[in-house]
Amino acid sequence: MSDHKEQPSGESEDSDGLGPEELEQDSEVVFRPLVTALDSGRFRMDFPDNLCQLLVSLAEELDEVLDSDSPDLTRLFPTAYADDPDMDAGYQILARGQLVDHRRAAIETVRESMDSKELDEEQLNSWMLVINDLRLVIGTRLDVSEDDELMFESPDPEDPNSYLTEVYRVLGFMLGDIVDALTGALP
Amino acid sequence: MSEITVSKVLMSETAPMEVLLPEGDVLVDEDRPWAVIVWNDPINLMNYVSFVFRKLFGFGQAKADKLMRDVHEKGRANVATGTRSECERHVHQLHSHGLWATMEHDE
Repeated sequence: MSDHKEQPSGESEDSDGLGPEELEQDSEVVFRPLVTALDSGRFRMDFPDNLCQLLVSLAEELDEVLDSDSPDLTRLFPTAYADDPDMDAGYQILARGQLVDHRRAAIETVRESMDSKELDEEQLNSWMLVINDLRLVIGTRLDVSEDDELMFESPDPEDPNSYLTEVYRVLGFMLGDIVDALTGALP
Repeated sequence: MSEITVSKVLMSETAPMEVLLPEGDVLVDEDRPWAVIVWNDPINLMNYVSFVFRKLFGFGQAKADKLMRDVHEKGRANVATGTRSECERHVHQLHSHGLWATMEHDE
């Protein structure tokens, strides 16, 4: 697994004194959450417009390849019965189409709500699912491993994958903020 | 018309698989409890995994975080047990959230 917070070691979580308050005193540019739960139960979205446009264009690309057998999609359609290929074939017959439909519906919600400055919980949930799917696809393409610290390293301009790596990082920060906001809204 | 044809194809694909199993085995199979296993992967965010556990299974934060840490540190965690159909539904929901979940007989 990977941690979207700024410490790569994973040792320090939320209780290390580096909360938003402490950082705010030192710097204008902080890791301020870009998704905020409102008293109304809705969520204010402060992602820059160009990020939302990037998200929608990536989501549309994903929509186009969802039916394909691209190896990049492996993590979207995992095996259910690891040690029984026959049972798994039965599961896949029923599940695969539903998983595709579910993902398409979430992409459609993101497309419809990309310009909204406020989302309801259901819409934000769709954003979360689409961004996570994109990270799974891009991370698979990049062959991300547990030891990689892509979230924390500066991109290497010599790397032919540097753009994709940067997209993966940015999606990780977006997802982290969305998940924190949705977690805070859980009963 | 084409939709009817598709559903007939699906029916004929799935129905014989169950018919072919000996009746006794089916009962034993259904009676044995199954377990839903979530496996570690290098991509999913830790807070995302905890959130999905809370959302799908209604766990509190502490239990969700404990299971998430088990996945991360031990490589896998048993997140639910039940009948085959219950576990298949859980696995399907976890797959729709992009988690790497499988099911196996609970030993």
